[in-house]
Amino acid sequence: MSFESWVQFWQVTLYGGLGLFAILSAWVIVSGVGDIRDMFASLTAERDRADEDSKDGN
Amino acid sequence: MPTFGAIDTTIVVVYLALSVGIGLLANRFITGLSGYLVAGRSLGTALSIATMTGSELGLITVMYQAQKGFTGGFAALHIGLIAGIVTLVVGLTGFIVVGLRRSEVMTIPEFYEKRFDKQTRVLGGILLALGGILNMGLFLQVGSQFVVGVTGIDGALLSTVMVTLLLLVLFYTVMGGMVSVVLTDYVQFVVLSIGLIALVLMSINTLGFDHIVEVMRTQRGEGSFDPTDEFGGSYIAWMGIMGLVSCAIWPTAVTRALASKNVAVVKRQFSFSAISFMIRFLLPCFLGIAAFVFIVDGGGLILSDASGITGFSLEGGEAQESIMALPTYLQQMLPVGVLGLLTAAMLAAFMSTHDSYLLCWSSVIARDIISPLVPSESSPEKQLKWTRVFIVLIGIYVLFWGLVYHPGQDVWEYLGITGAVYFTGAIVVLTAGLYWPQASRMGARLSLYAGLAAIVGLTPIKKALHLDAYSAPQIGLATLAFAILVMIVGSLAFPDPPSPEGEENTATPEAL
Repeated sequence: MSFESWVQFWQVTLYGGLGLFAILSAWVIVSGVGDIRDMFASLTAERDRADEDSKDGN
Repeated sequence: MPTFGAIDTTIVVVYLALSVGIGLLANRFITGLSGYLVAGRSLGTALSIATMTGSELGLITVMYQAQKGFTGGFAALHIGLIAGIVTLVVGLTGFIVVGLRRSEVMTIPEFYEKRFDKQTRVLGGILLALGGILNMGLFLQVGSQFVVGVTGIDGALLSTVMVTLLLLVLFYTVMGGMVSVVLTDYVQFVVLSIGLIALVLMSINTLGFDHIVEVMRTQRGEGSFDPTDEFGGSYIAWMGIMGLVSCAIWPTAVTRALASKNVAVVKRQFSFSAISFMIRFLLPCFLGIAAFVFIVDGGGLILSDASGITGFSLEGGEAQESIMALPTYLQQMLPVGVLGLLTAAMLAAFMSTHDSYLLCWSSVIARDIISPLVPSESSPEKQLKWTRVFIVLIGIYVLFWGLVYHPGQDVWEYLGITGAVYFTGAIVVLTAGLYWPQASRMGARLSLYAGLAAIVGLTPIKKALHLDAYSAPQIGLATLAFAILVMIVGSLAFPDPPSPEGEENTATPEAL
C-alpha cells in the first residue's frame, strides 16, 4: 500500500471507530441504568430468599 | 501553562468518595459466593458491555497504548484494529466463551476440573494466578506515574500516591465484590467514554489531522504508517493472539461472560464489545501520536537509542520516559476543570481495572487452589473469606512490585509476556478441551507447563540467558507452538481412561 493509502486507511479507521464508539456509549449509558435496576432486583430477591431459608432453618 | 488546581482536586476527591460509597452500598446486597463473585449472574447486555469495557479499558491500557502510539506512530493503530476484529469473530461464533458459559463454571480452572480432573484445575489455577499477578505488578506503578505526571506533584510522592490509591481500591473491592466492581465499572464507562471521545476530538481540532500526519511523516518517515514495516510479521501475528486472549481467554474478560444471564447475552455482549476492544487501544494510541506532535511543535526533543524512541524532553526541561508522554500532554493542553474531570476518569479507569483483577486472581486462589487442596476450606463462607484475604495480600504484592521492579521494556511487552505464562497454555487447553474430544488430562497438564517457558521473554531473564536476539513476541509465539505440540502428543500418547458408568463427563465437546 502507498503512503497516501495508509493515511486514508488510518483516518477511516479512527473516525469510524470513534463514531461507532459514540453510538455504543450512548446506548450503554441509557440501557445500563435499567440493567442496574434489574441486577439489584435480582440480588434483593436472592437476599430475601436467603433470609427466608435461614428463618425456616431456625 | 495550565496546572492542576483546586477545582480539579475537588472533582477528583468527590469521585473517589463516590467510589467508596458504592462499595458500602454494594455490600448490603451480597448474600453468598455467587453474589460476590459473579453478581448472581444477573447482568444484562448493556451492563455487561459497560463492565467489560470498564475493566479492560484501564488507566494502564491508556498509558501503555499511548506509549505505543508515541514510539510506534500510526502503524501502532493496527493493535486496536486487530483486537476489534478478533473480538467480533469471537462474538459472532461464540468461540470458547459460549462453551464456558454453558459449562456453568465460575472460573476457568473450574472448567479444567469438569473437563479433565482436579489436578489440572489446581495446576491451571496456580499458573493463572502466577501469570495474572505478575501481570498486574506494574499497574500501580504506571497509574501513580500518571497521577504524578498530570498533577505535577513532586515525583518523590509517588509511593504515597500508590499507597493511597491502593487502599481505596482494596476497601471497596473487599466490601462489595463483583457488585461494586460492576457499579464502578459503569460509572467509569460513562465518564471515560465521554472523556476519551472529547479528548480525541479536541486533539484533532487543536493540532489538525493533516498536521499530525505531516509531523509524523517528517519526524518518523513514511514507514511509520505501515505496520509490516514498523513492527514486522511476528509482532502482528502476536497481536492477533493477544486480541484473542484479551477477550476470550483472559479471566477478567471471561468472568463477564460467566456472569451474563445466558448464552445469547454472551454473544451479543462480545459482538458489541468488539467496538470497545478496538477503541481501548485505538484512541489512547492516537493520543500518544498527538502527544508526540505536541512535544515536537513545542520545541521539545524526542529521545531515542538503538532500540527506538525511549523518551522526550520539553523545551528546557528534563528527560522523561516515553510512558510519561500522555500525562505531560494532558497537563499542558487541558484547561482547569476539564483536567480534573479527565483525571477523575483516568482514576476511575485505574480503580475499575484494579478491582476486577484483584477479585479475579484472589477468587481463583480461593476456589481453584485452596478449596480443592484443603477440603475443610471449601465451604462458600470459607471461600469468601479467603477471597477477601487474598485481595489484600495481592494488593500488598502489587505495592511492593511497583516500588522495586523496573521492566526495562515497554509496558505492553511486559504485560504480554507475563500474561503469556498463563495464556499460551490456557488457549490450547481451553480450545482443545472445548472442541477436541481426544484432548486428555496429560495433554492439558503438559500444555499448561509449556506456557511457563514464556517467562524467558522478560528482559532481565532474556539478558541472563543471552537471548537478546529474539523479541518478546517471537518467544511468545514459540511458547504457543510448543504448548500446541505437547497437547497433541500428550493426548495421543496418554488418552484418558473411559468415565465409570453413571459418571459421564458433562464438559466434553459433545456434552456442551
